[in-house]
Amino acid sequence: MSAAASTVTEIPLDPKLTPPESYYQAHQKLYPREVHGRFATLRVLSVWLLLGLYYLLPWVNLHGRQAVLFDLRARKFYIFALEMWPQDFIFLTWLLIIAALALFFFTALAGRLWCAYACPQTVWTEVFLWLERLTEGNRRARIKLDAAPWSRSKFARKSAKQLLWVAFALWTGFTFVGFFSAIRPLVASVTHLALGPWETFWSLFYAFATYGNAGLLREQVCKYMCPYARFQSAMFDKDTLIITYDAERGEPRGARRHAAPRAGAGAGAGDCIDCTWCVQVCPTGIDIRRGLQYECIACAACIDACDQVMDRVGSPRGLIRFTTQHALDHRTTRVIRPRMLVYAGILSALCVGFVVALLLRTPLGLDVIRDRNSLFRLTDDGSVENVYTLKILNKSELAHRFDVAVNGPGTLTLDPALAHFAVGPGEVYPAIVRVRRAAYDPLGSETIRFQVTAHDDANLSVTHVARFLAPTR
Amino acid sequence: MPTLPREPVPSESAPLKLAPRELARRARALGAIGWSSFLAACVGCMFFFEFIAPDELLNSIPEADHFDRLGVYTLGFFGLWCLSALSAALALYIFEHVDPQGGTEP
Repeated sequence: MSAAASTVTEIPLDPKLTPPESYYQAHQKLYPREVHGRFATLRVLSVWLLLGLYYLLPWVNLHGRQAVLFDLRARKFYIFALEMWPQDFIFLTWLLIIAALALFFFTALAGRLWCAYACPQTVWTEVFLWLERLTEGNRRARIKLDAAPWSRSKFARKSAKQLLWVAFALWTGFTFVGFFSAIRPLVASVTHLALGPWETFWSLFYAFATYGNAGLLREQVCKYMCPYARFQSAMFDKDTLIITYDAERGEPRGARRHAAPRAGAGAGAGDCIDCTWCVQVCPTGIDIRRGLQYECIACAACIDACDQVMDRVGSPRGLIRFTTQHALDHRTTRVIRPRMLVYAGILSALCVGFVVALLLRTPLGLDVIRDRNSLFRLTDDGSVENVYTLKILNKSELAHRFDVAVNGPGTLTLDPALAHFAVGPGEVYPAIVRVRRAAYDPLGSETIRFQVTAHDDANLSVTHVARFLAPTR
Repeated sequence: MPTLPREPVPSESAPLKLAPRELARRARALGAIGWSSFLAACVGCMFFFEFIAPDELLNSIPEADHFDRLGVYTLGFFGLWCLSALSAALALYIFEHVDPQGGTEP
């Protein structure tokens, strides 16, 4: 043992094998270069459309009320002519399922369209970047400004940017609250410094979230926080449109001022002139030439940049382009494929079902609540009596008088016998009714059916079942 | 008998100041937990308040008489956010302490 132990020698550690302190790379600020082109124009149009809708919709009125209002205090949602109640929650769930399936469908068809053109993170980041360019200049000026020591000019530029960012974020937060609490009275509250505590909190909270996500975090939200970026690849296949660099055509890359000659000296060089414009314009800072990466939000800024460069050097466009893996492999791309048919089929069925259900929706709701204090009561005239509260919900925009009727296997009488209840638009009326039947009927307890019908419109009718309890001999 | 240098246990080697990379790791973990739990809380809040009216909660908690419906919605949302963030953080913690060989790290 001692002989063996005496042969132990220390083995120096190989520094190459020493694990790094962490595998995570420290964040480096990105300075995306401004780019012009087909896809940049599309992105700008999308920003104008979506942000226009967001900031203007709360100001649109319809029938004397805000056209789109998710009135949390009143527990009613108004979406133009539609008026949704908590009882209509199924429609909202239905809409969410349709939205999720639409996302699957369009992602499988054309890649990350959502990320590139419709995601609030992308859209608001575009605006914050534009404000940054406005105050700090282009990419080169911004890099220079950040590297420079603090001066009066740097302070002024940075302050102006922060001021614009904060103002825009506050406006965004206020507009957000305007979707849940009517925006015109909100403005009046602000001008009178009487904004409610919850409205103030949510305005500031949403403003802070906008500022933090779109101003400070930017691409980090897409890279490290967004779950969709991680699972969207599950919807991709070799026929999905992706942004890709044509390595076959581009390599071997090399710096040149003109297109690579097809013959003679220099022939055999690829079309990529290694200008790195595709990297400089990328909002997530990736190099698309390394292949498809989950950080790519498919904004196509690299396509616009590369097309400009190809035009300048005299090479054909499309070195970086929207294409499919099958096309790159010189195989046929199939748009109609089983995956697309399944998504499209389910999506169509859900959309049709949604519209039909919405059209058939009765603007009348009924909830029947049995009296919980006693199961039943025996009256002096030999009847058994059950008491119910009928909650009649008039979801229409007109006042109605509603008649109540009850029927079941037994002979039932209703008290009041001629039950009419006037219910205003958007109101819930709790009507208390008594149902009687001969006591000790062999039927025992039975299921009965309440029917509530508008006096002036027989089509406006709804039924609800309830349990009638009675003693057995 | 020569002795091999003893490796410091994690508690002794824990740096007092976090390296930028470690900070980046923690910030990203925080971001992932915060964002995924936010999405879960949004959906959870929608379902919860569909079946539980804020008035019922207000009536059952006498101390909450100075809250209005908007307050109940706000507290409900942040309560659900905290719960789902706790769940996400626990899941991440467990996942990060799993040894790929099958055991668990101390």
